[in-house]
Order: sequence, then C-alpha cells, then structure tokens
Amino acid sequence: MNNRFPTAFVLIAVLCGSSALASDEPLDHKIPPGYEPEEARDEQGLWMELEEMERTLNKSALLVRDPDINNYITEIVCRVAGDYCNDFRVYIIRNPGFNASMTATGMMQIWTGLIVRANSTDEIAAVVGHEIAHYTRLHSLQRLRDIKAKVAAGSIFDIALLLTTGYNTPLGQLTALMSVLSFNRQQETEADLLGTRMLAEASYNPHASYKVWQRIIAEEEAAAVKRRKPSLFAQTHPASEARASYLESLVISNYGDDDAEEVTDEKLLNILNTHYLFLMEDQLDTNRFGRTKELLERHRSIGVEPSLVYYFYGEMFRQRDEEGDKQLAMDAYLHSVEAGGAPGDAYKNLGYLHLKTGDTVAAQVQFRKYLEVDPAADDRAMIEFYLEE
Amino acid sequence: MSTNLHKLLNRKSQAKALAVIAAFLLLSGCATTTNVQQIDKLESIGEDPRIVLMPPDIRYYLLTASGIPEANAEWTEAAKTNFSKALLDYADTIGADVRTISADNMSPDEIQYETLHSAVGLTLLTHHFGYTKLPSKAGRFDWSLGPGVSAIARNHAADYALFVYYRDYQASGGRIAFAVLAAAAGVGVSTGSEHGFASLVDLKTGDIVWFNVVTAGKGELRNADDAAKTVDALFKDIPTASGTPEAE
Repeated sequence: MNNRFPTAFVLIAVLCGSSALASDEPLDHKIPPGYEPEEARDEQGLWMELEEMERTLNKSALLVRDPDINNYITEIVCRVAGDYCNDFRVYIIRNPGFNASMTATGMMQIWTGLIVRANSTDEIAAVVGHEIAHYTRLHSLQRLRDIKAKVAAGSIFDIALLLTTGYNTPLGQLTALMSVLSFNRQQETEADLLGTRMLAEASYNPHASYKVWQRIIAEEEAAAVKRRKPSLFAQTHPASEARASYLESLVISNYGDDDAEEVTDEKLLNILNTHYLFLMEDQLDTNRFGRTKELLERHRSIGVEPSLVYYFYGEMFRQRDEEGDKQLAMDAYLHSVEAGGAPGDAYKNLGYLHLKTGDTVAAQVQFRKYLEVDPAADDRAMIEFYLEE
Repeated sequence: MSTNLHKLLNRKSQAKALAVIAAFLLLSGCATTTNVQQIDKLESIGEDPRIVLMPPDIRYYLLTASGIPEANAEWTEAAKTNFSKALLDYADTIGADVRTISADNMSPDEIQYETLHSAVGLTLLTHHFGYTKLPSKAGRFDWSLGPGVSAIARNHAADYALFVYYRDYQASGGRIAFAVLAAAAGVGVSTGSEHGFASLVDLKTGDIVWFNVVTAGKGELRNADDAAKTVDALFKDIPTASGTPEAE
C-alpha cells in the first residue's frame, strides 16, 4: 500500500517530463524541402494511409475546383512556404467551419470557412504558416510515436501495478493520455511560433497571427448559443484567448507595434465579391444566426459589395423567422436591390415576402425585376403565374 | 481498454477498424454460415457475363505493444499484389471473365461506391449475421448498393462488380510480451486479427447477389501460397456463368 502512490508519481513525472518543451533547442524546420519518408516502418505506413486518403480527397464532391480561389490560396501557401512550396498540394474544402489542416505528406486542406473569416490575406497566411510549421517540424509522426510509447508504458505500468499490488486501475493509461494531450498543445505552440516567423519572413504582417484569433473570439462572443466548455479531449489546442494574447505579446516584442492601417486587401475582397454566394450560403446553412450576423457585419465594414451582404442579411432574417424578422428581411432585401448588382434571388425573395403580407402589386414589381435579372430562372413558370394574377 | 485513446487519435480508419473488429467478434460467437447466395448463375445482356474487380480495399497493420495499430506499407503492398494475382488465377480456373481496374483510374462515383460497400458490408455483418438482427428484415438478405452502380457497368462494360474488404492486424513482439504479462494478471488483450469479406454486386440493380466472409486463421495474404488459399476459401461458392463451381 505504501509504495503504490510514489510509483504512480514517478510514472507521472517520467511521462510528463519527457514531453516538456526542450527550450534550449532552437525552433527551426526539422526537414529539408522535398522531404521523402525515411525507411522507418511507421513513417512508411503513415504515408501509405495518407496517400490513400488523398486519392479519395482528390475525387471529393466537397472540393472547390474554381481556379480563381485555388490560385489565390496556392499563391499564399507558396509565398509563406518559400523553398518548401513544391512539398504541398492545396485542397480547398467546402465547409463553413474555421479550419485548415496539414498531413505529414504535405496534403493541405483549407476550409472555405477560413476565407470568410479573414479580414485580410495576411490572416489566411497566418493560418497557412501555422500548418506549414506542423509539416516542417514532423509533428504528425512525432505525435504517433509519442502516443504509442506513452500508452505502452502506461499499460505496462497498469498491469505491473495489478500484478504486484492487486490494485486494478487505469492510472497509467490516464496519465499517458494527459501527457499526450499536453504534448499536442506543445506542438500547437511550436507551430504558432515558427509559423509567425515564416509569416514575417514572407513579408506578410506578423500581427495577423493574433488578429485572426481575435476575430474568432469576437464571433464566439456574438454566438446566440455559446459553445459548451471544451471537454478534456478538445483541449488539444490552446484556447483562442490564450493564443491571441501570447501571440500578440510575442509579435509585438519581436516586430514592434502594428503601425499598418487596417485595410482589407483587394485580393481578398475580390475573392469574396466574386464567390460570396456559395461561400456564405454554406455559413447560412449552419443556422448559427448570431455568428452569421457577426460575419455579415464584419464583411460590410471591410468593404464587401453591399448588395451581397444585405442579400444575406435578408436570407438570415427570413430563415430565422422570429418576431419582426419578416420586416427586417424585407428591409435588407430592399437595401440589397437598391445598392445595385443584387443577386436575382434578392428580388424574388422580397417579392414572396410582399405576397405574404398581401401586397400583390409590390410583389409583382419585384418578380418582374427578378425575371429581368435572371431570365433563365428555373422557376420562371411559377413566377409568371404570380404575375398573371 | 484503449477506447479513450481512439477518441484522442481521432482517426477515421481506426474508428472503422474498431467497428469491424466488433462486427467480427459478434460473428465468431455464432455458428451461422457467413456465405449468402442469391443467384445460381451469372447472367449477361452480352455474350459472357463480365465481372469487374474493384480495387481491393486491403490493409495490413502492425499491432504495437500499446494496442495502437500502425499501418504497414510493405505488407499491404504485397497483400494487394498477391490477392489480385490469386484472384485472377482462380477466375481462370473457374472460367470467369474478371477485369481489374486500377485504384488510380477510379471515377468519383466508383470511389464513393467502394466506401459505400465497406459501410454496407460492415452493417450487414452486424445486422444479418450478428446478434442485432433487424426485425423489419425478418431474416431476408436484401442488401443493395442501389441502382446508381449502373454507372460502373457503363464505364467498364461489366455485368457484375466484385468488392473486397480485408484487414489484418499482426501483433508485434512487444504486443505479445504485453499480452503474456497481462494474461498473468488475468487480463485478456487482443493479439491481432485477420478478417475480410467480398460481395458480388449486380450492376443492373446494385443488389448484393453473393457475399462471403473470411475469418481468423483463414486469411494471410503476405505470401503468394497463402493468398491463393485465402482466395480459394473466399470464392469457393461464387456463382459462375455455368452455375456454382463444385466445392473441392
């Protein structure tokens, strides 16, 4: 009984100690550009699985194949990656979530949700830099090896404890789990630090690295339904707040205050204006109205075409359909069509809302405009029926 | 024992591996047959019925001391090569017209149907052969990939498609040592498994017209001889143009 717990503490110390950040090691890329997997069995296996996954991803219906968006993102990736540019294949995924990922093989995924959340190309570059740092630091492989070693050690400890004391507890495994989680967080911090450096070296604004997190915090605060406290398992990433604040002090101490004026660059604005309908349609479909509203307000302030932004305000209020939303939706559609260049659906949906309020004449005015803007509309026959009434 | 860790790993393939192991555990517990045959012989709108072999979904893992599987590229490669060769040889002996398609040349639809087949196969293992029978099925075997598979027929001028799923977990020395230690403490831990299944799908309807399972001890694909034995066991009852081949 007396020696059970000291043994446990030794184990905890060993497992946690092995993952402590080796601070004397300079934070730099671990692999050269054009890296190929070594003869190691586990690395070969990892690459095989990832290559198979990439073959499937290549044919995925969720891939955004539009050359415009692909060129825009690939250009960012290559500029941040520098000599590593040819190591990466960029896949843009239709998903309204805020995410990007990188595999050990250089398969990089950027979700469209990242594009609609950035206030500048620099902010997208900041996320890209973070992902590239995971790659050049060989994080996936390390994580795999870390998990295997710690879980094996933890399991053997549990069995040894059971054999010697008859005490059956998953203490070793749980300790291993905690240690693995802490190792993951540490990798995230490493990727933040190295990513920020790459961002600055590529002449992007390093201040974007924490601003992108400040946007996420703002969106979180605007959410109608707050996310539950993250579970133990979700805590593999430093929380947005902690991340924004340590990155901010790091960047300010390395690169000075941010003296650049906050203006959204033309390249990002152009992408948003050209592809806004499908990008925001996916966001709208999440039914997270608080967040969608925050994004729309942001887009209005950074200079996205008002006709597009107001159209989605209209869509959002119409779909939410709470007390007073009908009127808000009609106002928004009206704003959209008055701004010029509104999508045809702005006229149509405004028309339908007029119909619902019993104003057939006003509805017909909008329906006629709808057919002018979109003469080949699928529902032309239906609309013409309303026009005859 | 390692369920929490699988959560942590958050890797789809491993979740899938757990599902299939669970399905096979259910299977190994009952004595029912794992072969289902809906047709007596193959039929074709052309001269001879043609079968297209979808790229076999085969993967080998090393089960490490921790219990976490590690994909093994060398074994997987050998297994895929041996399996395809053994299957084509077997097709020759029973006089079946089997064409292969390369994993690199699949259409998006074909990739989706491969994934669907794995999902349907694992589901029917659980709910047709396993303990959790679906009352609404009342024992009927009417599983299908849906008529959309006719796209595969058009692409390859085939009447049937053969889908194969196979997973093999080989325990490492460390895992076996751990299992011995655990056994001494009265704890049972897995020391690997091998399992697979194959479906013959009618490309006009998408229906699975023949299905068979290969379970532990029968499958080993890393060398040519054993692969041939596995293929013989897996396909011994597959219908042909002239009927079901005689069991040897």
